[in-house]
Amino acid sequence: MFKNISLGIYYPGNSLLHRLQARTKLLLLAWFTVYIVIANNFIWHFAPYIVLIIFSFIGIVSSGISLPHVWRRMRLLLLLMLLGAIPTLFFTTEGTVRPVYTLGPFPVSFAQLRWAIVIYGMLLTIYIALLFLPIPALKNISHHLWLNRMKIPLIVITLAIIVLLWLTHNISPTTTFLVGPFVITDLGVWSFLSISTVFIVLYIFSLLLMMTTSPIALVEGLTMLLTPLRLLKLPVDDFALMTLIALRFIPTLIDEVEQLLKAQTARGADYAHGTIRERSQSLLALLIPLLHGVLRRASDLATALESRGYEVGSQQTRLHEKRLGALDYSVVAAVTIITIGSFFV
Amino acid sequence: MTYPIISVKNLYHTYQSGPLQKAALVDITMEIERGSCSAIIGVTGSGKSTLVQHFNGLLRPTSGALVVDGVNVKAKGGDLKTLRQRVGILFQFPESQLFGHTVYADVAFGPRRLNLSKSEVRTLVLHALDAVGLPPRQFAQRSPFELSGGQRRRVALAGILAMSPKILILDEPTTGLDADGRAEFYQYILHVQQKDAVTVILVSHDMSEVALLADQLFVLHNGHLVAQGSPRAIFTQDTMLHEWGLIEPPLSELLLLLRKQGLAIPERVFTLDEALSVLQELRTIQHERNNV
Repeated sequence: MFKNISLGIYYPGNSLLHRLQARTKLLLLAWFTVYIVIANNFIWHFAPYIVLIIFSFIGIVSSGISLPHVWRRMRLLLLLMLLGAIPTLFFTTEGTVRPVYTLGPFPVSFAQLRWAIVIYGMLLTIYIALLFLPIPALKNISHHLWLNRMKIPLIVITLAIIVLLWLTHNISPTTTFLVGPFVITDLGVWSFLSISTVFIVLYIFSLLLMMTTSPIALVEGLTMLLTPLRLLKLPVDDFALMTLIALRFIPTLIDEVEQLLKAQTARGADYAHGTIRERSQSLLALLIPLLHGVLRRASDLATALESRGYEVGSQQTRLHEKRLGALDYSVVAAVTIITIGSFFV
Repeated sequence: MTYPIISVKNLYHTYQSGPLQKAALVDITMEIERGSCSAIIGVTGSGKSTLVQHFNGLLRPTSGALVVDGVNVKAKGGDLKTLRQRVGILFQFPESQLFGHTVYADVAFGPRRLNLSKSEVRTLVLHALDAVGLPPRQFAQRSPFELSGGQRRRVALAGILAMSPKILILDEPTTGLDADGRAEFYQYILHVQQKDAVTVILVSHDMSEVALLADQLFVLHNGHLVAQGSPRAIFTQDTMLHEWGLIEPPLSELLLLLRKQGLAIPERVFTLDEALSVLQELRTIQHERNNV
């Protein structure tokens, strides 16, 4: 049942991006972040953003991962990002501002507001009727997940409306107030465009990094980039080993949890039914042996490491030395030249 | 007329992991007699554990029919709670599933879930501890973590027995135990089988263990049921056994080698005592020949 949990989002392959060293990809990602910060200072200078978009397309194509896979991991974030960026369209007012388009103001009277509330109330009644009427066809609908999820927001909205009505009940229905005006400025348009591009592009780059680099290669690459910190007496190698062990033992632990779940279920544990007391006992029956197993495993591993001569704080050598190849150097050179060049276009 | 306690008909099980499908069990049809001790043998990955996990509903058949003690195990639904109480299953390294602060609390975990009174739970737990040779007076209040490996394994067995199951499934119960621990463990299993009339199903790849305990063998190979019969019948098919990745118990192997050397040892010889008497007979015959 836990076999479907994918660790990271690594897609094995042998594409251009797969063949790049992990540290090259990490460095490129860091460089692109710096590049974006610099580009952010030049308003209405489109070249860096066009370069970023082109690079993200080149990245997707050269990763060998099919577009639908990338899209599936992006769509939710894309929606959130758009929702988040829309306010910048309206509320960017600093600096020299030129209005592009003005929306509103819209006059709203309390009578209109109350009509809206009446309509909402009718919809709510229908919804509650759906839940309680003993009609099988309707029962089926009400068991749909999204209807269930709607329950709590609906309660909150209804309470808010009741409070609003109570606060405004002695204001005459003919009183009107203004909503807006919403002013879209040129700076707002620019922030909207640049912020959304930066978000999408950075997300694509990180996605490509994770999709084309195995977790272990990623940790190794990160350690190599962090090696200068050894001079500051920071425990870079111990940190790397710790991370690698953590990654290595996740599948083992998943297996162990699965085995324990089965064993305790066979002894009558039930995680889905019963009183809270029974369920927490079942959970305890799972957690105590699990913790016990983890501690035993950790102490075994420590003994194994020490018996092979591991010392805390010492510098380790690698079994497979990975050297930067011509590919890494040429990609870094090309990216650097094009990005810096784009500032001067 | 006794009807089989477990009857399996055309059972298939397919593991689904992402887009990949893996057939773990293919067209299994078998019956297990009430009160018998059956063994399911096969190499690692042959589907033994998958098969026995069907018997108490931890896994459900992809297709096919499975009736365990009158309970129908189907792809969906069914009375799994009753089934799990009737079918106890002891997994590999069961001592790692202990969690109670005392042996008593740990063994009582299962019975407490059966809506019994306190005194009934107590009777069940004490009986189970007695049955595995851990006198309650001495062991009930001790922490399971301070016991030896073999004792902890017996505590785990008691935890299953306390549910008073009709079928006891043991998944490689003696791996990691020393010779004494093994012998003791077998003794308690046989005791439970004979005294409480529990049907025992043993999953194993230790052939001498199987030869000692089981009266019916089922051989699984790559998810197929390739042979079934008494240990005597199965362990004489040495070429087939090797093909399935198994080796006969040392005694059967020795007798086979002697037979190939030209000694007239009948095929029915199976236990150590039988072998000894046959060899002694052969020796007296040889003596007589020499004297003549």
